[in-house]
Amino acid sequence: MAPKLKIILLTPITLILILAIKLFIPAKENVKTKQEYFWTLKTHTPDKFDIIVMGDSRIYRGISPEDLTKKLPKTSAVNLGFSSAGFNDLYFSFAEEKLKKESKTKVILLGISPHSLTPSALKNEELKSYLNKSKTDVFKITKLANIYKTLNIITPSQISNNLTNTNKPYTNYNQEFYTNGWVKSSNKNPNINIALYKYQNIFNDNKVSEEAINNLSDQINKWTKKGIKVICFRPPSTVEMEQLEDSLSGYNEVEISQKIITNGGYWININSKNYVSYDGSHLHYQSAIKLSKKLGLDIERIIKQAK
Amino acid sequence: MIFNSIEFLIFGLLFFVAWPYFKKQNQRRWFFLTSMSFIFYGWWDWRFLFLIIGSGLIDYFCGIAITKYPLKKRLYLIISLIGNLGSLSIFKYSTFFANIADDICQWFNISSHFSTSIPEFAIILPVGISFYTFQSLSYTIDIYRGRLKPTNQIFHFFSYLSMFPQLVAGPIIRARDLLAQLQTDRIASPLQKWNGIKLIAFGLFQKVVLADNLSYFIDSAFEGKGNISGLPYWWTVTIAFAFQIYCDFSGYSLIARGLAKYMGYHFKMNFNHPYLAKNLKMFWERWHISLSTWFRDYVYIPLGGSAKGFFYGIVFMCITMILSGLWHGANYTFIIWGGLHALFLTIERLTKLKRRITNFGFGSLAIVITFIQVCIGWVYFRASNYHQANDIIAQLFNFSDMSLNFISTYFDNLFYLWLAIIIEICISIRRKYSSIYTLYKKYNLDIIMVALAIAMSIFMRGEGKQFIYFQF
Repeated sequence: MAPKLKIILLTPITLILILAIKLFIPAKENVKTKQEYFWTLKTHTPDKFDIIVMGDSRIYRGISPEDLTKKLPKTSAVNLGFSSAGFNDLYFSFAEEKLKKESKTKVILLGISPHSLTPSALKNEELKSYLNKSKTDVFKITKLANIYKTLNIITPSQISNNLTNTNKPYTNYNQEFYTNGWVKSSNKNPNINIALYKYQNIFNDNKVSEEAINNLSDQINKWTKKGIKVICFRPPSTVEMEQLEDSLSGYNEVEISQKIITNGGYWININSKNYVSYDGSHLHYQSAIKLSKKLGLDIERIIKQAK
Repeated sequence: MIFNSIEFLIFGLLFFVAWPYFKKQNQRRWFFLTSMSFIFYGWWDWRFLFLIIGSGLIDYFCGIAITKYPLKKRLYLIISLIGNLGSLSIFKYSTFFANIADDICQWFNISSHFSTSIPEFAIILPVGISFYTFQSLSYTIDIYRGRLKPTNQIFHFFSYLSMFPQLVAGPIIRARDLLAQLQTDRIASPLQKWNGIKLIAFGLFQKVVLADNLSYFIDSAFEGKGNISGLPYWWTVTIAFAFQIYCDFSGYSLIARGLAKYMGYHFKMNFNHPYLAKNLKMFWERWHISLSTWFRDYVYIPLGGSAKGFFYGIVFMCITMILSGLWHGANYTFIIWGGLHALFLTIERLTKLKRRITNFGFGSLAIVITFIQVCIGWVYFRASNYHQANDIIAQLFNFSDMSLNFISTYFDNLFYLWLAIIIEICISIRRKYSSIYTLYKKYNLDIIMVALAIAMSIFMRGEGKQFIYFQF
């Protein structure tokens, strides 16, 4: 066959092959691409909101902005929780930027876990990695996401499952990524000891920092002076986890809450017994919805009181 | 800008749309090629352009001066050597040398701060510096030796030095091969274009399907994330890395050659199935051929080669291999890697064992032995320090732990290792039995193979990564 003909034939043959692959091997959504899109959008969204939710993984899995604002009409909210996020100036300025300037009900909701006040969390590695993404990368990830979606990756296990007609679960973790920043999470085999085991060593040489608490208090003071309502709480997990954290991390909930109230913030007490965790640290999505609704009512009450 | 990116897709389309117009006239062709190559290179960091332009200008003017002032030609060669090796030392080796100096001072209880005193700009390693520096050096050395006439056209020179397909990771092209090609309007025949497309498709497949899909498994192992040990595991990791680096680098070279071919130029082959080599000498004739021949022509032979006798031949070979190791990176691990190859080559020269094995009809055994030697070398190449490499080598020969549990965990990644091995075996069989190749040609199976390579590069692509050799 003449090379010219080969060049001409290559395009239709490749297209037929691509179509055949798309038809016969239904690709699974690429989790990595989806996650990349979720985190990049969360970091670089140009949108502004009335309510900003801040915290670590317990927050991005534990607070659904949609349920938070159910009783707050015409109020927008976003969950800006990041993995192992720590409360420092970088995180504060990043979050403040996302607040709607003209909003009459500016609220910052802080989920203060013991880990979020430790030196390792204050590095904010995850947040930094997304903040450092170049404009080109952000454009590619957020704007060209649909192209990537149609070209989802097919893994050898998927092919093997298709051929053998089996559908083995790839992971026990179920995660759904919402554009408002929430990750709806659950696990097929819940086990509250998973996180307990991990947290036994997490505070070794990594205790709650007094400096971080003072810095957070100062920031709350600054925000309050700007007319922003700062509402804080300890994200619920399990009773066992709270006991473990209290004994190992140096987290003193009473002391922290008093400092926050002194600086103009609000503290909401949450009872972990009312919620269900699937791994001992993060809330099952049904509990996350319940918590979000409860916090929504608390925000409504605080706003009304302030008026 | 990397080949497997959307930016390059757009860049490539724009380039090939405009190329037929610009290529017809010499000055226009050189200017277009140079400007597009600078855009391609400056995409990483526009400041890198100063370095390539600076070192290029030194060699361009030194090349002219060598022929114009033959009595002072040694001086101009030295200027060129200082310019090129100087910038390489500053940007690539300053931290390494400073650390060595600090270590030496520490032995003698002298306080020193060489490593912390290095200016910030010298810590950044410009992409592909080793490649274009060597390419530029060969230009002046060849002129000095009277094997090449310098070009008086500055854009002609820069279109050779910075030609984008091979700028950041080779192949290292000799001026006498490419300058002449750049001097005329070369029209790519349909066959050349088809061969170019084939090379690009196969190169992309090697990179994004094979190399990228192996990277997670290998990175997890070397970063200790897998928390797995045992002899089978570490041999699998080592073999996987052997194929990752091969597919990554060979993939880049194939794409570079394909792009050049589509433009009407010819770059020599850079990889020729090195893991099918029956001894290490053959391996080095098949692995990164443009660099191996560079070291042969500009280091090994000028030192004396094998002309000064068997003993000196071995000494010069050892020097060349260690320098080649150092070329790859500023770390002790690369020197050890070069040293290990020198040691194995010395044993090979002294015993001629593998040649005997092959002569007895056990060619496959010779291939396996050579591959194992290469793999042991790769451990030092990949490890972050020699302590880690030594630990891994100990694991490779620790027969007490034979666990295979990792296979199910990394099933998806290891699939690509098998695929890479099977492809190499198929190529070996195809080379041995010409009838298979005849059938392959008769039924035009190459169209199907190219289409399959493209489809797999789309649907089975791994996590996008930089080409490994960019760091060199």
